[in-house]
Amino acid sequence: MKLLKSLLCISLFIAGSSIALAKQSQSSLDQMHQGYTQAEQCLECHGSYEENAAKTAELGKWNPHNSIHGGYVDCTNCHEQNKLTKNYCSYCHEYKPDLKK
Amino acid sequence: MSKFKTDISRRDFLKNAGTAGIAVGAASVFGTAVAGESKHLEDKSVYEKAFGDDVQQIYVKKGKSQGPKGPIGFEDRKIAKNEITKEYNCDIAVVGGGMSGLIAALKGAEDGAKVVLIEKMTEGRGAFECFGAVDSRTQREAGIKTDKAVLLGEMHRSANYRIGPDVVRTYVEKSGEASDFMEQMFEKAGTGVVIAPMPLRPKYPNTGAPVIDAECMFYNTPGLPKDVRFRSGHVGLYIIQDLTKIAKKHPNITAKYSTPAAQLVIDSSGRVTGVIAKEDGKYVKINAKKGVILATGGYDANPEMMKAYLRPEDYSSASWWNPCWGTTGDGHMMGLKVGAAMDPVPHAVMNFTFGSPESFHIPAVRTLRAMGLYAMVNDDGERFVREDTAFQFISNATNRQASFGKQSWLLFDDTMISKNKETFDKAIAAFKVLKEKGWLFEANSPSELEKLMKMPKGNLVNTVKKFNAFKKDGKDQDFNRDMEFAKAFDGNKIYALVCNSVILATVSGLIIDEHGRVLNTKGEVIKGLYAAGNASGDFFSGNYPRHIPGTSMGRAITFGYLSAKHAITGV
Ligand SMILES: Cc1cc2nc3c(=O)[nH]c(=O)nc-3n(C[C@H](O)[C@H](O)[C@H](O)COP(=O)(O)OP(=O)(O)OC[C@H]3O[C@@H](n4cnc5c(N)ncnc54)[C@H](O)[C@@H]3O)c2cc1C
Repeated sequence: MKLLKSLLCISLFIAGSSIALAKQSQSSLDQMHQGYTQAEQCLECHGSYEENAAKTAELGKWNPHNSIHGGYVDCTNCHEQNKLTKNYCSYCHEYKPDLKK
Repeated sequence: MSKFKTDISRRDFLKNAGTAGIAVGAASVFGTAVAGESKHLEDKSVYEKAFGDDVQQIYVKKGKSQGPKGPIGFEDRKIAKNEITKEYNCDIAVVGGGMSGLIAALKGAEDGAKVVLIEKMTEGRGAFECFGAVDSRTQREAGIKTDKAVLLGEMHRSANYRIGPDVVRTYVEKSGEASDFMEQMFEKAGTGVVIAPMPLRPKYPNTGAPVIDAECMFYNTPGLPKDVRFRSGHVGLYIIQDLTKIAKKHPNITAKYSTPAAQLVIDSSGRVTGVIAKEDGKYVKINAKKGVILATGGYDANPEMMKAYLRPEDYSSASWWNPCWGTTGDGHMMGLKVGAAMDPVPHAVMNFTFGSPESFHIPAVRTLRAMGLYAMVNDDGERFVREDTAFQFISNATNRQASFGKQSWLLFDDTMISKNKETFDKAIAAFKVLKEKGWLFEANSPSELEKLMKMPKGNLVNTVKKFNAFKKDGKDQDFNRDMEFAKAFDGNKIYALVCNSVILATVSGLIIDEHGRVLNTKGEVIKGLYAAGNASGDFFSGNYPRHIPGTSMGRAITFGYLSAKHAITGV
């Protein structure tokens, strides 16, 4: 399974990087993420929703990967490839987990 | 709306053509239009395809849905027997652990049924602070007598009479009983949740509709965190947590979280006998002897489904205020797949005004509430709606402006902000951030403001002049706003705050009867299948009527309760 996953990652990576070639200004990290537009693709390399929630578990009820409103939510809501494009939590809350724990 | 013959001819054409490949190949015979059409059919999403071949399309310009995306549980494909790794047996399976699902599970369990409750997310959805009810214990004791006929009449009028009489009548008759059941559950939990009547505001907001006293609230609950008070969408979180705790402890309930339902199981007679769900990533089958209750909520977190069933103008320029994203319409789709009837499109959305470009105007709104005096203008500095009407109407008018590229603004001056110094200072402090975001403009006069906001010269000045004259005469000649609750613009500073329509939920769904039983397209009961809350229908049309108190939570509680009560009979 693991092997399959990494093979999938590599093949997606190759497919993605040919698209990225045209855009020279991008960092290699950007290039590596080209073509990854679906949450399922993110999870192939970055682990399951549960694993990602565990990585940020120290944020407690402010854990964006499993908030008190209920997880798990599609990665693409906040992330666009390797970039964090928005923090949906901050749309309704002042997002300062350090202060609010 | 033109109704082409194409739905029939296209269907026959596709049948004869057999595959889409041939259809495209035949373009030279039928011309490009036909080729384009068949390609379009092929492109249809699962939500459009749900109606099968028998579909008429109403042509509208495509909208853009920028709302949040939740994880979808529904699966259209046939899940094979050998994919099922485990089976559970129960009397009643409840799908969804929001309000309607929890009430259904608890009612079933209290009456002795073995219940399996499955919730897709790690928590059930909890977003509310009040709920509609008639003649509940707390209302009876407070001496509140709801005029049921007036309530029912207004529910029908608000749905433009596009609904049947049974479901809303049942709500009016049974919501008190359901509320009392919920209260007993809180008592059982012993955490101190208190239900009390929602105090009525006699005149404001004036909607041109009767003010109906039929709502309860949880605000008096000791133990709610202090900052929760009067925060919509926050109270519900704690109430749902409380009910969840009771459900998890109940000896008759097996509650499974992170367990999305994918599809219903039917037997050869067409009876729904269970549901297939995913537990730990594997398919499991829950056999439900007496019934499956769909309590999956609306589909506000499913952009594709919004596009399939809502008016594009309702979501294209709107913001979202829906903190829980399990609501992806899985119940609607599971029902459709077994032949259920659904509310006609376009579906009704719960839309409020006071939207920021991101969500709801928090915390600005807490100070704005204090004023409620503002005028509302578009980018041209012109009014377009009576500002004191119900949220959904303002929302629609705002969307109409946005359809032609015009943003809406709340226009107010410093005399309209709270007179309480602390609140006033808080507002001014909050304005700083809003200005930085480009959401708020401040000026010393209407003419300065219109220049700053690049409005056509003289428009805003004229609007303010007119508004002040309406106030003086006591009559709004343009929109018939109640000027008693307006104030003239005579302050030192004038402000414009951006104002979007904001989506909280969708409220149309599967057609049910007075017991919550789902009906097929002939109006016959689909045995063993129930729907409650926002997954159910025949209650609203057009918009969610915000001016009728709490009917969405009220419906969820009432039909969660009634569907379990009926399912247990096993008929
Ligand atoms: C901020 C806010 C404030 C509100 N305030 C009020 C108010 O004061 N009064 C009022 O009347 N209404 C209010 N509403 C509306 C109210 O929240 C909804 O109408 C109500 O929650 C509907 O209840 P429900 O049980 O039908 O569905 P929901 O509460 O939406 O619950 C559905 C549940 O089903 C789960 N689910 C979905 N699909 C599956 C699946 N495939 N398998 C398993 N589980 C699934 C979801 O994750 C969710 O937990 C408010 C809404 C918002 C967003």
